[in-house]
Amino acid sequence: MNVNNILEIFYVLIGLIMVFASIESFRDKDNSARIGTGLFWLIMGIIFAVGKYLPNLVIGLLIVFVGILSLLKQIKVGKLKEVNKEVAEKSAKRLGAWLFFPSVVLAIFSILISQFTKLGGQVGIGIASVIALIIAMIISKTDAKTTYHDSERMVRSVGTAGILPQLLATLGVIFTASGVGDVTSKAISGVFPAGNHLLGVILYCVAMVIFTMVMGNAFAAFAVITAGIGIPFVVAQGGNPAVVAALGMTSGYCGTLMTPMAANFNSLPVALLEMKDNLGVIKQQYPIALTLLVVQIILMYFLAF
Amino acid sequence: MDNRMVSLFFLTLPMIGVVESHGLKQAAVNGISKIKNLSAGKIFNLYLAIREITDAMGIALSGQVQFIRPLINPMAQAAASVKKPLTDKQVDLIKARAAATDNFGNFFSQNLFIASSGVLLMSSTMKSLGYTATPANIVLYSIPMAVITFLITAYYNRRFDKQFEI
Repeated sequence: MNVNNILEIFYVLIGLIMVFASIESFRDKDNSARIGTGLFWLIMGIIFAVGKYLPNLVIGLLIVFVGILSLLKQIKVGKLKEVNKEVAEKSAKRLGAWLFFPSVVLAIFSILISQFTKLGGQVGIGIASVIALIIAMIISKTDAKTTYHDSERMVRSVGTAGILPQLLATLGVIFTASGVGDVTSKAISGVFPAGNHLLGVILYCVAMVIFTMVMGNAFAAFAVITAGIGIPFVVAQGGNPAVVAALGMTSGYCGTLMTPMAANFNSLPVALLEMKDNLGVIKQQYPIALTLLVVQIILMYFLAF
Repeated sequence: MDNRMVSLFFLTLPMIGVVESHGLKQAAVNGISKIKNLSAGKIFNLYLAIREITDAMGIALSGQVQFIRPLINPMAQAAASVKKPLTDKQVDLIKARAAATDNFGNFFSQNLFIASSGVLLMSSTMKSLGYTATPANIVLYSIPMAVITFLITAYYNRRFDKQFEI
C-alpha cells in the first residue's frame, strides 16, 4: 500500500465524521437552518470520502451549491449538546493532568512518524490522531456512542470556519495557474530590484502585515502575498520555503494584532470584558507587534539564506 | 489539484472532543487558580506559558472566553490592587493587557502543532506554488518566534507591574 492509498483512508474517516455532524445537524430541531446545515456537512463528507471517484464537474457543482447555501445564510452552527459540567468537573478531579496526555501523544507521534519513517507528515498526523483518540477513550473510559457525540459536537462547532483554510489553499492553486506571481514581480521589480535578499524579505513581511490588516485574516493574506511577493522576491532567490512560510505567516499575525478588522481577537475581548476603550486591546498590542515584526525580518534574512 | 491535506486537522477533533467532555478545561482552570501571591504581570506570564504549551499540543482553548474573562482578568485585578485601589483607567488597562497576552500566546505558538490548520495551509500553499515545505520543517522554524515572543512579552508584562507599586 503506498502513501496515497493510506491517506485516502484518512480522508474517508474525515468524510465519515462530517457525515456524523450532518446527521446530528438534520436532527437538531432548534436550528432554523437545520436542513441547510445538514446538507452542508453531508456534501463536505461526500467530497472528502469519495471525492476521488467523482468527476470534477460534479464536485464543482456541489461546491457552488454550498456557496449558495452560505449566501442564503442556511448554514448555522445550531444548538450543540453542551458538555455536562458536573461530569466534567468530576472526571477533571479524577484524571487531572492525564487529560493532556492524548494531545502530547498526538504531537509527538506526528513528528516521529513524519521524521523517522517514509510515510511522511500527512500520514503521520492521521496515524497519530487515531492512536491519540484510542488513548483518550481508554483513559477516560469513553464508549463509542459518547465518542460519536463528542466528534459531531466538535465538527459542528468548528462550522464553516473549518472549511475556510481549504478554500484559501485553493486560492494559492488559482494564483499559480493564472501567473499572478509573474505579473506582480514584474510590476514591483521596476521599483525593487529582485536580487536583493534583505529588501525582498522586508517587502514580503511588511506586505503580509499590511494585507492582513486590510483583510483582517492572515490566512487569506498568506495565499495572496506569498504567491505575489514571497515566491518571486524571497523563495525564488534561494530562500528556504519552510522558513519563509513560517515567518511570513507570523508576520501576518503582527498585522492581526494591530487591526480592528480582526474582530474575534481585538473587539470580542472589549465586549467580553466590558472595556471602556474600544481600541484598548490594540493599543496594548502594537508595541509588541512592531517589535516582533523587526525580529521576524531579521530572523527570515538569516535563517532563509 | 488535490489539497485536502489542509483539512487533516479534522481528524484530531474526535480526540479533543473526548478529553473536552471529560474536563480538559476544568483541569486547566483548577491548575491556574492554585496560583497565589503573584503580581499581575507574573500571572499574565504564567498564563502565557500555559497558553503556548497547550497550543503546541494542539489544544485550541478559546482563551478570551474561557480563561481571560472568568479567571485571568479578576486574578490580575486582585493582585494589582493589593497596595492601593485601582483607578478606572488602570482597570481598563489590566483588561486590555490580559486580552493581549492571550493573543500573543495564541498567535505565536499555534504553528508549533504539526496538525494545525495554519501549518497545513502553509505546506499546501507552498506545494501548489511549486515548492516543498514539510509540516515538520514549518514547525521547526516556528520555534524561534514562540520563544522570542515569550521572552519579549514576559519583559513587557513585568514592566506593566511598575505602575501598581508604591
